[in-house]
Amino acid sequence: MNSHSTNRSGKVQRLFFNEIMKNIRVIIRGPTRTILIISIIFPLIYLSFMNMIFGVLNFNFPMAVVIPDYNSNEELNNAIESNNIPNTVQFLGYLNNNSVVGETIVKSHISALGISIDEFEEKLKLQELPLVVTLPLNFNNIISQVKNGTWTNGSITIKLHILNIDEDYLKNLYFGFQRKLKAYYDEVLSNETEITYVYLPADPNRITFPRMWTIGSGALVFLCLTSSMIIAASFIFNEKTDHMKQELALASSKNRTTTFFGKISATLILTVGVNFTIGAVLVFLWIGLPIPFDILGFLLITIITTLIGALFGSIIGALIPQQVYTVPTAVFIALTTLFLCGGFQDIQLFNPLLQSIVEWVPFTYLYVIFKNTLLTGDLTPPTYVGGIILYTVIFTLLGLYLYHKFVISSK
Amino acid sequence: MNSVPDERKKLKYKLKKWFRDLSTIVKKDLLSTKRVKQYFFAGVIPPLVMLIVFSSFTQISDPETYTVIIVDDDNSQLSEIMVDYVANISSDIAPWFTTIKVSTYDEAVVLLRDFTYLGLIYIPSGFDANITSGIPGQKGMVYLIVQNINNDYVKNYMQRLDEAVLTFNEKEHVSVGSVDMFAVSLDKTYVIDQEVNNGKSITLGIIAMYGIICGLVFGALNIAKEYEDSTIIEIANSPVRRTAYMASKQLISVILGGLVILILSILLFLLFHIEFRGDIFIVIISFVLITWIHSGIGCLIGLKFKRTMPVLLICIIASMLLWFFTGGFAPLMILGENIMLISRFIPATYWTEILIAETLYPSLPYILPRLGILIILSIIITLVSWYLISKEGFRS
Repeated sequence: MNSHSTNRSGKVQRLFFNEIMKNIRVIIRGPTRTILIISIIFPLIYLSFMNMIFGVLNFNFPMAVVIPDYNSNEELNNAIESNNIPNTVQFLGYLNNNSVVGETIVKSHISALGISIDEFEEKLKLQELPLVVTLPLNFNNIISQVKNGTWTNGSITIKLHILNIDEDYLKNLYFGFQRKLKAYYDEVLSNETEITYVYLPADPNRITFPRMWTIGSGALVFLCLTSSMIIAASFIFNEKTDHMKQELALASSKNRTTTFFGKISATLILTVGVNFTIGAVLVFLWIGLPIPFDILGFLLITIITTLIGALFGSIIGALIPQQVYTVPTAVFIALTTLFLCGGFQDIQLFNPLLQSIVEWVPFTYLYVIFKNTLLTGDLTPPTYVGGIILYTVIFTLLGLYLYHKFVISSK
Repeated sequence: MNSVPDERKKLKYKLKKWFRDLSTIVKKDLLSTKRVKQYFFAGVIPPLVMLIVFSSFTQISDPETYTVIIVDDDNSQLSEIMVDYVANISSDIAPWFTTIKVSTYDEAVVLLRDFTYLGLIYIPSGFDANITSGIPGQKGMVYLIVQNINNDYVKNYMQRLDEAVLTFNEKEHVSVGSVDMFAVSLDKTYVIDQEVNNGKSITLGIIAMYGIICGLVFGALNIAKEYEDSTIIEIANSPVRRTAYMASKQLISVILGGLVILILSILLFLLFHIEFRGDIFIVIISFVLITWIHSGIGCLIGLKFKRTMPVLLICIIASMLLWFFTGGFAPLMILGENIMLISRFIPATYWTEILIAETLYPSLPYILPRLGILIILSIIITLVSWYLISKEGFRS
C-alpha cells in the first residue's frame, strides 16, 4: 500500500518537473522567446519616461524680461552695465537663481531683455518662449523707496505673459516663478513681508523618499506582473494548440492540476530567475534604489507578486482567442493597475471614492506591500497580507477551473 | 517629328498601367484587412486603452486638488482671511486645496499620523498680533505639516501654500503707522485663450499616436501577412510593378488610418470639449504625410521580420516609444534639452506639434517649416523603403 502511494506521488512529481522543463524549453527555444525580452522592455520604457519627468529633479525654462523705462535696448544695456539700476538687477538675479522645492530645482533663466512686450510676441507665438515678465515703470526707484521705508503707494504689479500649452507645464512654470518671488520677498524685502510659513515633516524620523523611489518600486511590481502574466498566458495558450491536449483530456483531474501548477511554477522560475533579476539590477542601478533592509522579505513579496501575476495570466491565457492578444492584454491590465492601484502614486492621494474601490483590488495590496518591504523593510500592513493570501486562493481556483473548461476541454 | 507625342503616349500608358496595378493591390489588401481583425485590434485598441488609463487616472484621482486640514488657533480677522485664501486659491482649472477645518491641533495631528489626511496648515495664536505689531521683522507665522511619504507631495503642498501666502502678502495691506506695506502682485495673461488641461493634452497626444501606430501597424502587417500567406511569391511572379505594390501598401495604411483617426477624433473632441481653431486641411495633409512615412517604416519592419506576431509587438512598442519622445504624452519642454534634441530627428515630433498647434493656437510661421520637414522626410523615407523592398522583398 505504502509503496503504491509512494510510486503515485513519484509519478506526480515527475509529471510536475517534466511540465516545468517542457515549458521553459518552449519559451527559450521557441519563437515565443521574444516574449521574455518584451516583458522586460515594457516596464523599462515606462521607467525611462518617468525618470525623464521626475528623476531629473529639475525644471528648466527660459523667460524674457521687459524693463519699459528706456527708449532702446542699447540704453537698457548701458543702464545695467553702468549699475544705474541696482535694485532691478538684484531682482533679475533672483529670477535667474535656482530655487529649490523639496528635491526639485527650478532652474529658469533669463534668455532675453527688452523694452517692450512687442519684441517677444512673435517668440511667444512660435512657442520659443514660454514666459515674458514685464516689470512696472520705475521698478528700480520703487524698490529703493521700499528699502528706505518711504514708499506709501501700496502694491505694484508685475505682468506675466504665459504660454499655457499644457496644464502640467503651466503649473511648474507658474509655481517656479512664485518660488523665486517668495525668495525675493523673504531675503530682500523681509521687513515688508506680512506673513510667512514654515514647513515641518509629519514624521521627522523618516526620510522623505524621492518620488522616483515610489515609481521604481511600482515599476518592479509592473515588471513582475507583466512578465508573469505574459509568460503564464502563453504557456496556458500553447496548451490549446499542443498535440498532448487530447491525451491530457483523458488524464485524471490530478494530472491536469499537476500540469497547471507545472506551468505556474515554470512562470515563477523564468520571471523571478530571468526577467525580474535583469530588470531589478537595471532599476536599482538606474534609480539608485537602496538595497532592501530585509532581503528575504523582499524575495518573498517578489515571489508572491509573480505568483499572483502568473495566476492572473493563466486566466488571460484560457480566455484569449489568439496568442497574439497575450502581450497587449497583459500589458494593458498591468498598466491599468500601475496607475490605479498605487504604483505611480500612493493611493492616499486619490479621492475617497477611488480609494475605497481600489482597497478591494488585489493589485493594490501588491503595490503597497512591495513598496513597504522594499523601502522600510516591513511586510505590512497585515490586513493587506491577509488579503493577498485570500486572493491567491481565489485566483488559483479560478485559474484551475478555466484551464479545465477552456483549455483542456476545448475543441 | 512624332517622337514627343509618342513619348507622351508612352508615359500616359505607363501611368495608366501603374494606377491599374495600384488599384488591384489596394482592393486585394482592403479585402484581406477585413478578414484580419488583429489589424484593428493592434491599431485602435492600444492608444484607446492608454487614453482610458491616463484620463481616468487624472480625472478620478483628482491630483490637482490636495486635501488639507486647517487648524486656526488665532481665530482673528486676519487669520480667517488667510484661511479663506487657502480655501479659495485655485488655478484656472482646479482648486489647489480642499480644506477640512478641525478645532484642535492634537486632533488634527492624529488625523495626519494615521494617514486620513496628508497635510495640515496650522495658524497659531498671535498671528494677527504679530502682523499688526509694527515691529520690523515681526511676521504672522503659518505652519505646514506634511506627511512626508515622498518629496513630490511635499513639493505640491509647499508650492500651493507659497501661492496662498504670496496672495495674502499682495492683497492684505496692513497699515503700520502711516505707511502702507509694500507688495508685488502678479497679473497673468495666457497666450492661448482656451483652457488647456491635462485631459485635453492627453487626448491630443492620443490622436497624434494614432497617426504613428496606424501607419506602422497597417504597413508592417500588410507586408508580414504577404509573407505568412506566401502571396508575396505570386506578386513577385506577376507583372505588377514594385512601386505600385509599395504605394498600395502605404495607401491602405493612409485610408484605414484616416478612417480610424476621423471617427476617434470626432468622438474625442466632443467628449473632451476641445475647440479646434486651425486649418483642418493642414492637419489632414500632415496626417497623410505622417501615416505615409510610418507605413514606409512599417513595411520595412514587415520585410525584416516577416511574421505578424513579432511585427505587431515591435510596432506597438515603437509607437509607444515614439509617443513618449515626440511630445504626445507630455510637452517636450518638460523633458529637457537632450530629449528635445533627440525629438528633432523623429518625424512624429513635427506631426504632434502641428496637430497641437493647429488645435489650440494656429500660427502659420510655426506650422509651415514643420510641414516642409514632413514633406522632405516623407520623400526620403518613401525612396528608401521602396528601394529596399524592391531589392530585398521579392527574393525567394
